Amino acid sequence: MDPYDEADIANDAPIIRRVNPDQHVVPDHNTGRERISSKLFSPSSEPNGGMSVDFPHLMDRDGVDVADFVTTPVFSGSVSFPASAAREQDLWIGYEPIDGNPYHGEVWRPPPPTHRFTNTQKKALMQASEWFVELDGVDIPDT
Amino acid sequence: MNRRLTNTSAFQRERVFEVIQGGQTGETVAFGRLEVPSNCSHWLISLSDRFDEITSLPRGWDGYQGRPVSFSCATFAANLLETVCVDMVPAPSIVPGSDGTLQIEWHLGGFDLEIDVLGANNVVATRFRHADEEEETLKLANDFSQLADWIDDLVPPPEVAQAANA
Repeated sequence: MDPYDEADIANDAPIIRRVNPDQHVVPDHNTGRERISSKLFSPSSEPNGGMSVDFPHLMDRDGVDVADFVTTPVFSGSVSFPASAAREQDLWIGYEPIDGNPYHGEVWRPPPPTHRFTNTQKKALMQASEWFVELDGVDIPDT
Repeated sequence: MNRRLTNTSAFQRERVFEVIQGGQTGETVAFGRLEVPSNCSHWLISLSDRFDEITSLPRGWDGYQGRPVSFSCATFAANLLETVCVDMVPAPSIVPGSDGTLQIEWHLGGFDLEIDVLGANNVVATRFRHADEEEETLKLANDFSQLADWIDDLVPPPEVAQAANA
């Protein structure tokens, strides 16, 4: 799907990004704890690739339990950030249902396409994020 | 397709296209193995299992449509690490991307050092220094000398190293 920004997604709508505890969590020897890797907030390098997300407002519409849906079939933690956090970084958010996930969407950089978000964009998304399904002892970095 | 045996055991199906008689292209499938340099550093020794793991991740490992790290990315990253390895610095963390890329990172010594390997000769390295919140970014192809300097900065001061060994 070509990148676009969906007007139906309100700026205060929460956007969910799943966190694989075995792959996205790294030790932070500066704090003595663990933290989410910034690699979590990266788009795909494929043509029209974005960063996969889930839309709770669509699940609510369909009466789907959000926490249950985003922890199935692969258990994961997840973080949530408002749509405005992406748009304030000039990113687009749109629907892209896929097999097995009608609530799937993408966060894109507008064309011309690039293979990564800028460091500023990644940090802004990370700093705007809060745990939705928390991983114990894992920090969401604020720097 | 013959490949040099390595000390890793990750397998991936690869689609290999070859021209057959008549000018048409055919498709066959081969199994490839991740190649690790034979004179590997202590980093690569300790990361061998990790490289195996991320190159054999199942489709959808990220809860979406994530795929395993590509052999080309993993091999390039392994060679990069071999080039810049410093004995006094612990092995980094390796984080897969959903698109087959990977990131190498350390968070220690007051720094966050992240090396985003987007493909062979396509690397973006970022260093954040907590003391003054200074951030630097390098876009690199095959000259990693400046990156090596950054990694040298991760070496703990002698008094810290002595305390750790006490």
